[in-house]
Amino acid sequence: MSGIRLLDLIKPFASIFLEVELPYEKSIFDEKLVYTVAAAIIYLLLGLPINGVNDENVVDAFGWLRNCFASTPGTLLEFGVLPVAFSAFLWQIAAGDKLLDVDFTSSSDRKLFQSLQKLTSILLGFVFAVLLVFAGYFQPIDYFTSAAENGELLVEPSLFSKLLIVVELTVSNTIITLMAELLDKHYGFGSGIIDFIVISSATTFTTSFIGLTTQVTSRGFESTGALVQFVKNMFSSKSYAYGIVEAFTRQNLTNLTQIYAAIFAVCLIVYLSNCRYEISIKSSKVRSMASIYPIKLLYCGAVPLIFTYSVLYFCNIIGFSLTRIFSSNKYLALIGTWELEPEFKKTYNLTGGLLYLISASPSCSSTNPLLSLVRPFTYTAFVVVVSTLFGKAWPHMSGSSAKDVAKQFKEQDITMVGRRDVLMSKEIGKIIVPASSAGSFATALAAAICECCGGSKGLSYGTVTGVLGSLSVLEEIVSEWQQTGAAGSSQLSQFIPTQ
Amino acid sequence: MAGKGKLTDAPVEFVKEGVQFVRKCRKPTQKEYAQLIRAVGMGFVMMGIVGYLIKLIHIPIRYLIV
Repeated sequence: MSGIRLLDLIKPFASIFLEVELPYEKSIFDEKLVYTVAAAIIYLLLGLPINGVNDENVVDAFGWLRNCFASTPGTLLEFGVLPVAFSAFLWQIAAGDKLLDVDFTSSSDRKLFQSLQKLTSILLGFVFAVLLVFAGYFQPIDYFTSAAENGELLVEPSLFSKLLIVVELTVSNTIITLMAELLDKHYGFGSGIIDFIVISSATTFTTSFIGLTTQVTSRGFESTGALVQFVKNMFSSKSYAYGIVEAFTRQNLTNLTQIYAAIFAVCLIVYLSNCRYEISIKSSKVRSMASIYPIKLLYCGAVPLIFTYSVLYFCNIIGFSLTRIFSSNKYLALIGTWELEPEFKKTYNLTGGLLYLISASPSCSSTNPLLSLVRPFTYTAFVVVVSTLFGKAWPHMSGSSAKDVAKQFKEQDITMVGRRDVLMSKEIGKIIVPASSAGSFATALAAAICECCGGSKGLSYGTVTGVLGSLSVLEEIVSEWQQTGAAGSSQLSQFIPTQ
Repeated sequence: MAGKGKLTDAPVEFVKEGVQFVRKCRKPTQKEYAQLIRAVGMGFVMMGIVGYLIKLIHIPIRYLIV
């Protein structure tokens, strides 16, 4: 083909942007572990408030989506890994569907592809920041001041501080993108996005379960941890019944119902993740070397769940900002309407429109009751359908499809027992395709139902994603541990039990 | 009629394949499962505690910069 490829257009930009160099030699086990942990710690430390924004008074519109993307409202992690994840999915799908012409065997093409992803990620972060800033998202509503009308005092930041917010968010997003790239380029274990999601969802879960810190709310001091709050209620409140009910139903912070929904979802997912189909394989060179190649039911792991929520998060950010900026336009209300939650003034809740039907945002009293009855079903259906379709297509796009596995087998002189070589990819395909789609179907269904039943504000979904991600990262660590014989050379060998 | 058949074909096929696959799967035994849940739960909460401790560092930093 003689025309200019889209990929080549990125060439002039590629040299401007920072890039992580590929490691000269294969990193050793310990080093990788240190890189991974350090990156995760730096990521968590980034959660500092933005200059000019009081993150305690920012009204959060995307709380139910955040847990899955390791983001915190009003801080430098406002978007979390969303820009990185979204641009990765976007271009991977484009390349998989042949919309973008990439030759993954050539190293220069691979490099350009990475630059394209990075550039998109940085641009997305910039666009999101601009949209939210001009939608007035970062104008804190000071609910302690009752002077203004309706008891809401909107503090309008100056243009300069608005620009400052945009710059801060863009820079922090660039840092996150580069850190993800660092981990992706085999300096660390797993993929960068998954690592960050794992550490952050684990932190969120633990904090909302047994977090000891207290927060000042309109009802006085409340513990962040649901269990801690429960125990405190038992000692301090006048009636036990009230204490128990309060711990299970409080709305401003995590309650015990949400925790139990999340734990239930995790138990289900762990069971599913251990279901696998075992292909017996043997080496064609060495005799009597038979072994087993497992194909897991959850072949794609957490990726379909992340994809579905990244689409939702993207639509919500765009929808929210557009409805705020063009608030006079009637048609935009069809996309979604957001309303300030009246009691605590901490969240904007979706109350209507198209996005409401596919959301799991906390419910509001002003919603049409019919819509709120329909919503759990439409939301579950949306999540399940999108995840399943994606799960079916993902192995093909990410280079783990039947053909690739068969090729890998051939390179290592492995054959399936009782099967002919020629048909191998077809045979494996018969197992992988149902596995990836059924697996995504099952995970999405479990996560979505727990999300709906517990009214979890994203806790169930995020925890499920985190657990699935941690399982896949752990698997990589263990296989590296066993294969490279790191057990002998590693400094950590005394801490890790060897089996 | 043909259109209707096509529309339902894909989901039916999907369910059939999925069920078949799950039947053939090796599922964890109860003992394995209990072990697994314990390991995953412990690991996840441990990771969370480390994360929580790191987040606690935020409190003094916030006092310094705000």
